[in-house]
Amino acid sequence: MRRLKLFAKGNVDVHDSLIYSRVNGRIQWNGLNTLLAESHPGLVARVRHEPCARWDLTGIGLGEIPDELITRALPLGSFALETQYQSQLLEHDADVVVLSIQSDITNRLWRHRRDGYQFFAPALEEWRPQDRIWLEENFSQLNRTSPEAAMNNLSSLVSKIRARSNPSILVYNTSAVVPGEAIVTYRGLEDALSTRIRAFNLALIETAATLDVSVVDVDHAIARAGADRVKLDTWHYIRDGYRLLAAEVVRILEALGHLDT
Amino acid sequence: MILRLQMPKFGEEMRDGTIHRLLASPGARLDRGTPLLEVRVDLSAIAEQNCSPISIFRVVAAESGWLRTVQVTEGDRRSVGGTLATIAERPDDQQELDEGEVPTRPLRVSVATVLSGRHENSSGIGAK
Repeated sequence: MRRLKLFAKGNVDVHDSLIYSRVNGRIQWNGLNTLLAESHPGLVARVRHEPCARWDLTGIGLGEIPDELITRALPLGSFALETQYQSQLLEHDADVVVLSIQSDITNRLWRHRRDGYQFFAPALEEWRPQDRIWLEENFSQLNRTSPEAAMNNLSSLVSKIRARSNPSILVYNTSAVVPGEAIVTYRGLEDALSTRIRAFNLALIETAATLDVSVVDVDHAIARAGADRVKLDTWHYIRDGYRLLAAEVVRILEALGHLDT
Repeated sequence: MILRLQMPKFGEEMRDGTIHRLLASPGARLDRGTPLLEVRVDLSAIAEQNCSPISIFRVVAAESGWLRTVQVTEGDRRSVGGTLATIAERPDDQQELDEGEVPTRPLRVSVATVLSGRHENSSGIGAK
């Protein structure tokens, strides 16, 4: 059995399409290997996954975890300090690296006022009041990243990956169709999430061409299938949606020669 | 004429929503594009998962009027179609509805998902 090694650094889109999607305690989609078992029975994908706070906080070359964060024992959920500061992305000798623009679209970072390090603080409503006060007193929340800044960070990340090895690099864009959205005019909705997603998708096309990385065109695949049929909300899909995303990855891997026997 | 702002249905699976932020107060003049409120929709009850399916929708007026009453506060949960506020088409429309009188039709609105300023990192995407 031949093994294809993938390192996926991203969140619900890459995880649930490539590894598994569990809803109401039951597996609804069992990932990339479901498709490979049908089309390439002699091949299995080993997918290693890390959450991604943002491309400029990939933990590459940032050094140690700040002591102040370690001693706080904050409820960071999936975004444990190790994933924010000590990514295994460059330590894993992968054939394919999979990234996603999702976290750069949504996530805002905090910067330590005195020491200058950046930090992703998710799910603040679950934090103890004293920890929220500590965060406000010691950190400033940074603005959302622009598409241009995000693409610069992607370029920097790709350079770091290629300085060490030469995996194929795939980047998920995001479906801009949001179930329930009904816009008459954009006045008052200039910051609509769907508009921001479109801006990132366009920026990614240009950057991906420059960097010669592959775009997993989630937006196209979902639109073609009918977004209302396969999307639960902006970020979540039903089984058929995740299967479409995984199929798009398989198509690209095949075209890049990774599935050749 | 008195209009009603009702809880919109943001997608087939939505049954109710929670008032996340109120963005206009009684007496306010509404124009097309005036933000009215933001609604938090959590679909965990039908699709519970590690990364919670939570969205924040902003509702903005798509026609002019005067906001007369707001019948919810932040944190209130309302079913789809429930009345959230009443709007007068003209400033001199009567201040109170007569007993048994109901607003004539829903206010026309635009709705879109936004990355809300409050707890925004918890309303977007998670990971595993």
